[in-house]
Parts: sequence; C-alpha cells; structure tokens
Amino acid sequence: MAQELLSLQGLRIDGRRQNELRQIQCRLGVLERCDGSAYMLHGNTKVIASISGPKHPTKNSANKNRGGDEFIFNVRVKFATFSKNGERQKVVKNSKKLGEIEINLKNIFKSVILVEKYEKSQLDLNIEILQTDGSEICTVVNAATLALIDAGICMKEYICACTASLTNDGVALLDVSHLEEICGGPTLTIAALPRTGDHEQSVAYVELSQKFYLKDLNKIFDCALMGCEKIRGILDEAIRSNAFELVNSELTNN
Amino acid sequence: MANIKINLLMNKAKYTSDLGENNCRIYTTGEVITEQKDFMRGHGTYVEDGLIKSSVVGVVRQINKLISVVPLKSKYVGEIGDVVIGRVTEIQKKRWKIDTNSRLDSVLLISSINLPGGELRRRNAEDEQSMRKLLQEEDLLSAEVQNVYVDGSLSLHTRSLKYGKLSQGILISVSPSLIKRRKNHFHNLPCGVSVIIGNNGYIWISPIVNVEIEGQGGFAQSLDAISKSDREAIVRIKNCVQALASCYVMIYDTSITFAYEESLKYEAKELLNHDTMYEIGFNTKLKLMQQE
Amino acid sequence: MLTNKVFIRKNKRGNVLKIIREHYLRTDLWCGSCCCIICPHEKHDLILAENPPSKSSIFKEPHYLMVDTNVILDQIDVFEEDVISNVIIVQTVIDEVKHRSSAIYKRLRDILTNPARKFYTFVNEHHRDTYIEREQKESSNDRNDRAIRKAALWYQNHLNKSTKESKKPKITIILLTDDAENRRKAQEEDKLVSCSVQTYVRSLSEHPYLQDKLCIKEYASESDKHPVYPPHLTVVQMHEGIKSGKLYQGSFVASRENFLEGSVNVECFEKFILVQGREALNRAIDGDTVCVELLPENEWTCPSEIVLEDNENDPIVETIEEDENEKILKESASKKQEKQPTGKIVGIIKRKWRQYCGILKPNEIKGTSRHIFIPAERKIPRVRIETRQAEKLYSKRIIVAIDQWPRHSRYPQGHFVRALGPLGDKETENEVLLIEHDVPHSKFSQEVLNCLPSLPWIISEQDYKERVDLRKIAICSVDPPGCTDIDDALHSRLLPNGNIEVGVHIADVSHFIRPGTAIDKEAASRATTVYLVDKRIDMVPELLSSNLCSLRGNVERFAFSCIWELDKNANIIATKFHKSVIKSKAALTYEEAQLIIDDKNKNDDIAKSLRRLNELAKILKRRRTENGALVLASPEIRFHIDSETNDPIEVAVKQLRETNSMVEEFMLLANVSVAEKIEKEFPEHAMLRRHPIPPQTNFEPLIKAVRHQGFDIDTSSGKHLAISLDNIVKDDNPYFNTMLRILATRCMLQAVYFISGTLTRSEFFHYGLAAPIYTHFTSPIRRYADIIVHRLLAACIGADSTYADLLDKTKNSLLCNNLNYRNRMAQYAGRASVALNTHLFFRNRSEEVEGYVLFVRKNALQILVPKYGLEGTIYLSGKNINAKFIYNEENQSQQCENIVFHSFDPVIVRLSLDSTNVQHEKLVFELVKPFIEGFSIQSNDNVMEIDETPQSPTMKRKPMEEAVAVGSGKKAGNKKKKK
Repeated sequence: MAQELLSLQGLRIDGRRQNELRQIQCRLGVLERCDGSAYMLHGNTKVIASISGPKHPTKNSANKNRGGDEFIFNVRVKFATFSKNGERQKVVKNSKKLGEIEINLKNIFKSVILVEKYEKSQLDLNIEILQTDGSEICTVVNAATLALIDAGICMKEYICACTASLTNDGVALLDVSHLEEICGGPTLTIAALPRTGDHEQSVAYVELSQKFYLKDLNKIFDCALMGCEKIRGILDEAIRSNAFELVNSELTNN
Repeated sequence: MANIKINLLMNKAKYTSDLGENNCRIYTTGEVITEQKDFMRGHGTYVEDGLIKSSVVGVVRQINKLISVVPLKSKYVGEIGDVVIGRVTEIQKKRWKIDTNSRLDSVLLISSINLPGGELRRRNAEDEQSMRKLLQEEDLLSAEVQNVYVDGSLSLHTRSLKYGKLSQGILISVSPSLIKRRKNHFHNLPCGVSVIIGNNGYIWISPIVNVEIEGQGGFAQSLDAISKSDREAIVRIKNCVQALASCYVMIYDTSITFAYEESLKYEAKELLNHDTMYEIGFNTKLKLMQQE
Repeated sequence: MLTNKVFIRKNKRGNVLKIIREHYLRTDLWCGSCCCIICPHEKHDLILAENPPSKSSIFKEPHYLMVDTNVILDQIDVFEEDVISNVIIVQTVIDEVKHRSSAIYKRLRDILTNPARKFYTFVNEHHRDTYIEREQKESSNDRNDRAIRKAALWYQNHLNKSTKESKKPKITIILLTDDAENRRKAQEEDKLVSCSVQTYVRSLSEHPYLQDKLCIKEYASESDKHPVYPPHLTVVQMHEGIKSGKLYQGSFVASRENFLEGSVNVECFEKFILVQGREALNRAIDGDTVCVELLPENEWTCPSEIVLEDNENDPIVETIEEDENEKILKESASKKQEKQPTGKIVGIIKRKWRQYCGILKPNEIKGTSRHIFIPAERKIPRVRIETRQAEKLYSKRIIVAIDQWPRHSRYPQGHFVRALGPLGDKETENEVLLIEHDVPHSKFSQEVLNCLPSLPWIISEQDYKERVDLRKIAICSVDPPGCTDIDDALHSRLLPNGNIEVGVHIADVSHFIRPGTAIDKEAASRATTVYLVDKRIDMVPELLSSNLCSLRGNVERFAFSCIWELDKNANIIATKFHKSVIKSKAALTYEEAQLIIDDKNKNDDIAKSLRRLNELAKILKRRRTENGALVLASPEIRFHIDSETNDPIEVAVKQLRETNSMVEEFMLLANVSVAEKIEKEFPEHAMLRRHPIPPQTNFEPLIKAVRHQGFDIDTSSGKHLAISLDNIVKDDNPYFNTMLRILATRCMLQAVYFISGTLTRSEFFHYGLAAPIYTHFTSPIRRYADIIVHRLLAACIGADSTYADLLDKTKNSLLCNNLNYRNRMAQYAGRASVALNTHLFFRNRSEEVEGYVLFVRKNALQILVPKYGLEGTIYLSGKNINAKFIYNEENQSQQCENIVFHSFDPVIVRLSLDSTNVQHEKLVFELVKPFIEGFSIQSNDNVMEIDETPQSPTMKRKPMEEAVAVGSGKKAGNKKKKK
C-alpha cells in the first residue's frame, strides 16, 4: 500500500511534522548492579544499556585477545522476545544481523573512548532492546552513550545517532518510525559527534537502507545531522540533571 | 498476600528538590574547560586543538595549574594509604590477585603480609605453597594501598593487625565517590557493630571482634554464632548505608550514626522500603547540614 | 507542542496482532477561518471566508458546512460544483474516503487543493482537542461519526468565541449527513445544526440544477417491491466461498453484441466463464470485480452468437414476466456443440463504476422527473435518473453517474452530472468520444506552459559545442501530407570504403521536457497524442509539437541521431548515437519523395540519398519478412474534410507507397538498435516494447473460417503464419487474402511497453515484427515512451544526467501500465472517431457498395465494407423480415431458398443513416444483392457503384462461384508497429 508519508497539511502518519523528532525520554543509572546504565525511550523503541567495567579482563576475553595489553571492548546486543510489536518471536542468537550491529557499535564507540586510558582492561556493553518501532540502531547508540557516561568512561564526545528518510517528493523526514521505514524510501542512519560551538560535526557511522540519488544526499544528511544535534541537546539535559543531583549531595557534605 | 509497592521517581524528587540550589558548574563530555594554554591537563580531561576538554561528566578540580575533572561515578582510583576492602580472585606465584572495584585487579604480594604469629622473615618456598591456607579465592580482606603502579593497578599490604581476612559480616558496595576520606576508616559503632569503610566503595559491616584476643595476624576465621540482636543491628546498619547511598549522602562514621539514629523509629525490614530510605537519607542530610 | 498518545489496533494478518503506534496530538493546527482571532494563522492558511454568504433558504445565517464520509462518497458531484463553498473537511473523512475509493479521493483532493473553492482540511485526528479514542463496543464507523461531531462542536465553540470577541456576525456550522442517527445525535447531544444533503441542496433555491446531481440512495428496505434480481451474497459469504473454492473471483466483461450475455475472466480457468441471462448477470456492470458460482456441467452452454439490443420501450412499468429476448437467448444457446463453463454472478466484490456519456431517452409521460438514460457504450446498461430539466436535455449528450442498483429495479439508478452539448454537434460528439475513452484533453495548464522555452528560441554556442554539427548534411523528412509534428528525418551518404552511412534523426524532445517538471508530468499522464479524424489532442503543447521539436525544413533543430554504417547488403557494420544539430533540407510528403525517387532526371543529394535508402529498405524488409514478420491488415480509410464545415466530404482508402515502407524500415531499424543499446546498459531498467505470442486458442476463429474455404493455415509460429497467409490466395477473390489478414490481426494480442527487469529475456520477443527486442524511439513528440527511451539512451552515452525515477523499476512499471492503457484508449478513440465521421458522411446520402461476409451468425450476417473500412450487421430474423433463413452450424452458413451465404462471400449492401431517432442515429446495412424476395431491397439505378462491378448480374444465383473484382485494401504493416 502506498501510504502518503507526508500529508497535504504537512503532517506525517503519526502527526509529526517533517523535522520533528519523536518523544525521547531517558534515564541514567537505572540498574544498580553494574557500573553504568541507561534506559532510553525513543518513541516506542525502548532500550536498556548497561556497562560493566572497566575491569580486569576475564580469562575468556583475555584469551581471545591473545594476551595483548589492548583495551578489550565487548558489545552484546539482544532483542527481547517480545520486542517486535507485541508479537512473540523466536530470538536468533548470534545472527548475522546482530553480529553486524555489534561490530558497528564497537567501532563507533572505539572512536570516541579514550582507549589509551583503558589499556589492559575490559569493558562490557550489554544492550537489551525491549521494544522496536523503527530507528533501533540510533536508540541503541544513544542509550549506550548515556550508559558510558554514567559509568564515567573517558570519551571525547557524545555520540548521537539519528535517522532520516525521504518522501517520494524528495522531502527529508527526520527520525523514521517503523511504519515509515516500511512504507518509505531510503533510510539513512548516522551516528555523529555533534560538537557544539563552531566545530564541524564529525560522523562516526553512516548506514543506508537502499540506494538513492546523490542529489538528495545532502538534504537527507543535513536533516539527520540536525536530528543528531537535537538529540545531543536532549541527552545533555538528561546527563546534567542527573549529574546535578549527584553533585548537589556530594558538595553539601564536603 | 503479596505486598507490592511501586516506587515512583516522583517520591524521590520530593526529598531532593527542596535541598537548595547548588550552582556548581558541571562539565560534560567534550565540553571545553579552558582555552588558556598554560594549564596542565589532569585526569578526566584531554587536549584537542590546544584546548583542554572534559572527557567525563563531573566537576572540575583545579590544583595550581593542573586541571582535572572528577567524574560523578567511576571505578575506584586508588591512592597510597587508602583503606580498601577486596576479594581474592586468583592466587598466583607469590601474590594474590584482589578485586578492589578498580579498573584492574590489585595485587597483594606474599611479602606484604604479616605471617601468622607475627613472624618476621624472608618468605620461603614453603610459604608460597601454603598461600591458599591464608587466603583462598573468594575470601574477603581489608588492606591498605601500598603502591600505585604505572598502569594504574594497586599493590596492597596488610602489615597491621587491623587489616586481614574478614570472617562474618555483610559487604555492601557503593560508588567510591561517596566515601569520604577520613583519618580512620575502622569504626566500632555504639550499637555494637563494627564498620570498615573501604575507600574503594566496599563497606564491611560485622559484629565487633576483639583483635587483640585473636592475635592471629588477621587470618583466623571465627565462625561463632552471633546473637540475634547483633545480627539485627548489623542489618539495620547495612540498610542505613544503602539508604544513604541511594540518596547520595557521603558515607562516614557520623553519617552512618545519624542514619542509624534516624532509623530507630522503623523496623529494620521497613528500611528496605524506598520511601523510608529516602526519608532517612534526607533527614540525615539535614542533620549533617545543621551540624556544619 | 507534542503530546503522545499510544493507541492499540488489532490487525488481522493470519493472527491477531496488537499494534502500537504513536499518535501525536498537536496544538498548532489552526481552524482556517478568516474570522478567527484566536489561531495564529499564516496568510495562506486562511481559506474559509470571513462572512460566507448564505445561498440556502433554510439557513439564512452565514455558515460553514461540515460533512461526513458517506456524503463525500455519494455526492462528490454536488461538491464539485462551485456553488458549494466554505466547507470544512476533517481528516477522518479524508482518510475514510481514501480507504474506500481512490477515484473519489483524487477528485476530493483536487477540490481541496483549489483555494478558490474554499474547502479547508482540518486535521482533527491530530488536534489535541478533537481527537477521540474508540470506546469499548463502539464500531469504527460510530467512532468516526463521533469524531466528526466532536470536530464540528469544537469549530462551533471556537468560532463563537472568536466572533463574540471580535463582534463579527456569528457563523454556524452545519453538519451535513444522510445518517439519521448521526443527525439526531448531533442535534440532541451536541446541539449542532445538522441536516441531510438533500434538504440542504433543495434549499439552495437559486441553483435548482444541483438537485439533479444528487445521488439518491435508498437506505430504506426494499421489501415492498417485487425483486427483479436475486440478492447478492455478503462479503463474508463471498470470502468463504472463494476460500473454499466454491466461488470464483474475476472481472466481468459485458458482451458488446448481446446485452444479456457476458463473461467473467477468472485466473484459474483458461476460458472465460460464460454468464447468460438477466438473473445470472445479477446487476454486474462491465469492469466490475465479481464473484461467480459455476453451474453444474449439464447446464453449461456456449455463447449464443446472436446479436441482441435492449430495445424495450417501457422504462417505467417493469415487465416481470420473462421477456422475449431472454427466450430467444435460451433457445439459441441450448443446443450448441462446444459447451463452455457457465456460471452465475452471486455477488459484487468491487464496482468499477465511472461516469458515462449518453443520451436521455424521451419519456412518453410528460412532466415526470424520472427518466431513462442510454449510455453511448453498448456494454453499459441503461440507467434510471431523475431530472427536472429533461426537456432541455433530450437534445443533448449528457454525463451520468451510477449510484446504486437495488434488487427491485431493472436498471441501475444514477444521477445527472453535466451536459456536454447538443446532439449531432461535431464538437460534442468528439467530446463524448474523448471522455468515453478517458483521453485527457483539457487545455494545458499555465504551470505546464510556464515550462516552455521563451520565444524567439535561439541555439546558444554552448549547445553547438555539446552537439555534433550535422547542418551541412542533406537530411530530409518524409511524412504524410499536412503533418506538422515531424519527429523523424533521414539521410544517407556513401563512405569512402564503399559502405553507406545512414542516419535517422529524431526530434530531441527530452531536451525541452525535463524530468519532474509540470510539463513532464502532464505528458506522462497523457502518454500519447491522440489523432481523431479532424482533431489532434497533443501530448505536449503546440509550441513544441509543431515548432521547436518538429524537424521542419530549412530550420536548425536539435535532434537525437542514430547513425549506422551499412554495407551494400544492409548489414550493420557499426552503430553510434549522439545528440546533434540538424538543418533538414526538405520536408517531403510520401508522394513527393516517391516522385523524386522515380524521377530519373533528378540527381541532387537528396534524390541520391533517397534512392539509396529505398534500396536498402527493400533489403531490410525482405530480410524481416523472411524472419517471420507478419504483414497484417486492418481496413484504414482517410476522410477528406470540408475545410469550412469540417464535415467529411469524401472517403478514401489510405494510399501506400514505397516511401512509406522505406521510412518504416529505418524507423524499425533505429528502434531495434536503440533497444539493444539501452538493454545492454540498463539490463534491469530499460523501457522496451514487446508483442506477446498469441495463444493458439486465439486463432480458432481464423482456422475455422479458412477451413470452410478448403484451406489449412499453420499458426504454430509467426513465421509459419506469415508463410500460410502468403500462400492462401483465391484467384477469384483477390480481397480474400486481405480479409484473412484482417482476421489474423484480430487474433493478435496487444503490444505493450514493459521494463526489462520485470520479465525474462525470452519474453521480450516482438511477435509481429519477429524481433527479439524492440522499443519505441522514433516518435517522442507524440509518444511518452519514446521520451523515456531518449533519456535512457542519453544516459547511456553520457549526454544527459540520470535522475532518481528513471531507474525506479516500480515507478516505471506503473508508468508503462499507464502508457499501455492510454495507447489502447487512443487507438479506440481514433477508431471511434472514424466511425463517427462515417456516420456524418452518410447523413444525407445512401450508397450501394460491395461488401464481404465476415462472419455468419445465427440470426445475422456481419458485413465488412472495405471501401469505408466499415463493419455492420444484417439481421436475418425479426419482426419485419419475411424471408426464412436456415442456419447451418456445420459449415457456418445461412441459406434462404437457393441462396447460400458463407464467410468471405461478396455481397452488395446499401448503406444509409437511419435518422428516425434523432438521438440515436444508426448506420443501416441492407442487402441489395444477392436479391432475396421479401428481404433484400431494390437497387437504386442511379447509384454508380453497381456499374463498376461487371459481374454483378450473375451473382444472384450462384454467389459462391462468382468473383468480384475489387480494389485491394490497405496492406500496410500492422497497426502496432506504425513507425
């Protein structure tokens, strides 16, 4: 069914305008038994990310690393059985798709973590996707950023990810929902380091779901980057309000 | 009937919101701390394009020209002289590997312990073979940081009678940043409970034992039965510490004592209730502020 | 600004799913009224008038209208009228309309996007104050009704507040709905003003004609009247039936010849399922998707082979008893040899009703408002309509829409949409023709015209640089006389190595029509230029078609050139394509070109070039025929039109010369070369043209007919068919072969455009041309497919950039569907135009001409008149016919006494126009020779034609053995491969 992604009145299927994000909610430190964690709601996509470490490498991963002194960064992504729109599905472990996501995440975050500070130690990032409604990778990236920050890992920048798509008439749509992914054109996922100030944004990761024309690239790219910047704002606010609470208590006592 | 309580974040907010604003500048990851060139970068910062930027989220500490950012939550970064509580993870040649909640496991050399009976001599091969008799894997111990290696890992020692193997008690783990550095980290509280507050965020709560009587160099394990009243007191302290941690109150002897006093109006098990925890944390905080 | 609502939907896709979607409710959606002082409107949002004048006699105060879904679905004709304005359409309605009928949705969209109409879309579903959730046990229809009421209420309060503050006149919201329950709820619960559409439209006293457009649906029970038709099954019953295999789903095709017969094309059956009789047809209309039940095999019949027309004069009083026609049908069908699966229609899955052109049948009862409408398309049944302006409409062609077909009504019920113009008027008739064939023929919009280059058009230095300069080469074009859209030109010259360079230059239309522009979209939608006898409906505006793109003589024009190096035997040595600038030396007609070739004294460049081309073309043609290309025929004629009255004054069969074939051959060569090139470069995305091999069953009528003449025909392959057709010649009947070719043409399938990636390589085959791959490249001025092919080729050779949609397989496949549809319709429209002009031609004359029996039917003879390319029917039984004919099924003949009629027999018929019924003129065929007492008519001695047939006197007795010398008809290439 060819559904119109953008109505005559300029509204998308779920009532957003072309350059609006879905509602994003996030919380840091939701899990007590790990070193850092975050819960992220991006529309109906829900993700929990947790960090364990940095710690002494377990024997298993030390063996894998062949005894080198490098920083070991493990990423595990899991889709909950009930994650796909309430339909219970068999979960495929170690599927190719998951493996790919894991490798991508690893590379994305290795590019911002100050790796030299964590030589010889191991960091585990566990991600559980509780519900999916489009733009899962972004939500995962954003949640992981929060979890890493919560764990006090040294990083150069936040990494924020966002998607953008294109209607048939060539209008770029920000933050693609599941329905729009199905009905729509190409989906561009980018993970960027949206620096504030006059610095240029640098991009850590780009993924495209289908081919499209070069002339549209700038439009869709700019749209997604703008989304990243907006998300950065949201993450920053969440981090600050969380930090505020901590700092407040600490300082009253010191 | 199951007694289910749903805890909302809102309840927590009730206790935190009216604690007064504290306009402390928080730096977040990637934020520029200073554009001036003549500063030195310390922990939690990095330099890019000649600017010192924060690599973690936290508050800036400046010591002369050294700028560092202290993260709000992180693994334990040890300093010489810190009291830590640790757990043996591995026994190697001439050393134990101890997990001390830091980035890398710490080591306890066989030469850094007091031998049972207080003998002072070179360690021989026999000692190495009987290491497991002193400390096994999964054993808990208290120790002091003797040295910090280049890679950040710690070397510990137990050359004091107060350090050594821990036998009966409860271990709780809190964020290391909540532990206040004090002269003394071993406290015998009036309620008949002994608390060791490790700088690494591990806190050991146990009945009071008379170290003098033991005289075993800290490696004996007493497995005597503990009276119910002592157990209750231990549990209450444990709950109080948890309450303080969940309210981000600094943990030291005074705060624990205050929390304990505050908790007396409740039963020990009621302290697990989040509302009560917040209340205790909040009241303790107020009390501490009044004291200052 | 955003409020989040999650709602839950159940979806049946095998299993029940709980679908959770976000639904954002906004506070930034405005009311769109000029009188509003609350909403922070942008200028362009202000659509509804500040003080809407009331035209209604009931509602005197200024008001806005709000409507529910059914009102739009049923009464879109009313809403298309300019009288109705200041209407608020809520999103709920738009969504529902979109879901229920895409055709009406499109019309609604057109209204909504026209700001002059003052229709405002209110997105109530995303407005914080008007969104409602479906309650428990509430049906979705009820929920939608409630949503509309809620929006109406919101508007009323909103406007009240506004007008109160600004002290402007109060504006009422009137909710139009035909649902009584909804109306009651609106009035009682929400205190809204509400009425039915009928009431409202009737109150518009200044615009009485609107009432005719009202669609009147009877929601009341039908029990009080005697049902004519059996009831339809419910949707659920049909679904279960189809699932269990008891019922079948297919599209219904009504018979053109017999109004009580039709067939259903069901996928799982090789043959059509036959449906006969009024009750079995059960209110299905041509094009509907229906549900059929197969009858038991002993009730199967076969097509009746009789021609029946609905001639009942009794429109009001319904005859309940089985009528005469049905009896005839039953008898004729009962005893046939080859039985066919027969079924009855038990339900309609989807109606495919559109608007129909036709005339109003005069009613004997004066003053009544109920009338019968006779559609121009014979496949469509008559429609009952109500109108008060019948007197005015009798002499006009009108358009009517069908609303419903209840069980008790013999005819469907509809309503008047608009009048086209007076009957018999050429313009009106052309209009009818265009509408009936769905040819877009409105004037080009300003948006489209804005895309045209400004005049004077100058070729810039840049253009010369980018193109190959061929201005010095002797290029000429050869076209029919009077042709203004010249899209091809040719040249040839000798190369030093003895080979010949041949160039085909095609107008570079894609230079002017850039992808994605308004003009491109318009051309894609029109797909082709439609040629009527006296009119041309252009695909692109005239400036391009007749001037800038047209390769006229002695002007510099842009072209897309295809240049070959050919050896003496017309083998291709090399091919190249490039864009060029040319200057045609002469724009010739076929006749002029022929004269130049034949004139031995002429030896200039052009003459030499043409002669060389002609020689090569002959070789090419021979080679093509040897490969199995078919030479087919269809009777084609030309009208000489009176320049003043625009009426046809003379009819002539189109002349064919060598030069026609010459141009055709090179166009074919160019098309094939281009097809190969683009297929190679874009194996997945090339737009090609194929002509599917017809299934053997299609040839059955041809084989049958030939067998009766004592010949055998081999239809197993194109090549065999071509050879057979060449061999079957009757010396005594030279037209026989042509007639065979005409019949063979009718066995063929339509050639179609397609995208190469959607089919396998073997399916690319073009049957008629015997070419493994083919496309259309040579007529971009009049065919859109050629424009696409030009773009593809330009992309191949790097002369132009590609764009997103060019390589979008799905979009292009849809485009192909449109092109195929429009092409077919254009072809039909062209033929209908010829038929129309033939009528006009015979208006004041009658003529006796030779004809041939094309088919022998049970109650009729079908006659082909080659001179006019006409086909008609002579009924052999009926009220006024005294002669007794005996039908012989075995050898397909009709006998009356000693005169026997077979297929292909020559006859003489008189053609005249029956103008007794002003509204419905008919061309009448009457038999003159052979003469049959009581059946044939006396020949008029003063008619010339008889004298031209020398053997005619002997024909009376033994028509079989007699031969008539008749000039051969057109033996041109098959219609589909017209260059």
